[in-house]
Parts: sequence; structure tokens; C-alpha cells
Amino acid sequence: MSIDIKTTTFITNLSHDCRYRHNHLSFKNHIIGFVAQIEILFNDNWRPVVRYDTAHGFAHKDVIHYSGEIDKIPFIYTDYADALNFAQSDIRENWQKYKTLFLKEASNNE
Amino acid sequence: MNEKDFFEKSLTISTEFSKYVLAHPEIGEEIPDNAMIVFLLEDDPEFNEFSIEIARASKGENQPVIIVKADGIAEPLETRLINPHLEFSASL
Repeated sequence: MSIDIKTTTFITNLSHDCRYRHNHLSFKNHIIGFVAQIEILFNDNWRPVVRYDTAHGFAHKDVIHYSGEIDKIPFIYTDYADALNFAQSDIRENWQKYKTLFLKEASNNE
Repeated sequence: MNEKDFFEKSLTISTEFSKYVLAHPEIGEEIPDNAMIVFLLEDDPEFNEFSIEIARASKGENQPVIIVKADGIAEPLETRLINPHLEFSASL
């Protein structure tokens, strides 16, 4: 018996130097996992600066530092569709902050 | 349209598109992994100009590109209630 899990992955451009990477796994139209990630173009490479995903069995946010260190912040949504909505809302509110933090760390290191 | 407005609108469209794909998984099956999605709106030529310009500059080598055309974006729903009205009740 096969389980019909569908996966969708795509990238959309938000500006010349910022893009949104989306992935979700679904089973019968229900989200069973997702990744929503903001990437910025830095030194000709796309670098993730914040990621919301359901790896490790719970929805959480990863704030990704220039060093590669990751701050993992769980958020309390057991319904992954609600968690994805929250993630996309948080991106809207805070993407500038994550980008600024990353670029500040980068300039402190170079 | 400035970059900030384009950013906001792109993000809105991206999230709405992800919801659409969830409701219509057969659409998701047509999207190659890591494809760049370029949105074009029938009612916003300024947005489309930005969208195409940025896509051309950002496209990776051998990266598949999918154009998603839509008539536009509806206003967010404040409530799903249809014409509610209040009545005082003395009997209940």
C-alpha cells in the first residue's frame, strides 16, 4: 500500500537580493511538514537568514547567523497549516531585521 | 512601484500561491524542484515589469522557470459572516 504524500518546492523573488524558498509536504490536502526560508544574496551566493520548518517533529524558527550558528526558537502550533501562516506572517513583519542582523555580522567579520 | 511595495506584494502572492498549491496538489506536481516561480498579474503591469526584471537578473544556470499568471489578488476576508445583524431578545 503506497502513501500518497506530495511534495512541492519553489523559489520566488522578493527583491533583487532577497528570495523566498518554500517547501511543503502534504497528505490529502493537509500539511504534514514545511520549510519557509528567506535567503539574501551576499557576495554572489544565496545565504539563508531565517528558516521556519518542522524538522525534528515540531514547528520552529531558525535564525541563521553569518557564522553558520543557528538560534532555534520553537513556536507552539500543533496544526502545521497554522504554523505556516504564522511563519509567513513573521517573515512579513521581521524580514528586514533578520537581513540587517546578518549583514551587520558579515561586516563585523570582514 | 518601489522595491518595498514589490517585496510586500511578492510575499503575499507567494504565500497565497502556497495555499493554492496545497488545495490543488496536482498543480504542485507540475513544478520542478527548486523552480523559480515568476508571478504575473493581469491587473498590475507595474508589478509585472519588476517581476520579470528581477527574474532575469536572479535566474540560476539551468534553473527551471515557471510563470504563474493570475487575474489579481482579492482583498483579505475580514469575516465569513454574510450580513449579520443584532436583535434584542426578551424571550430567551
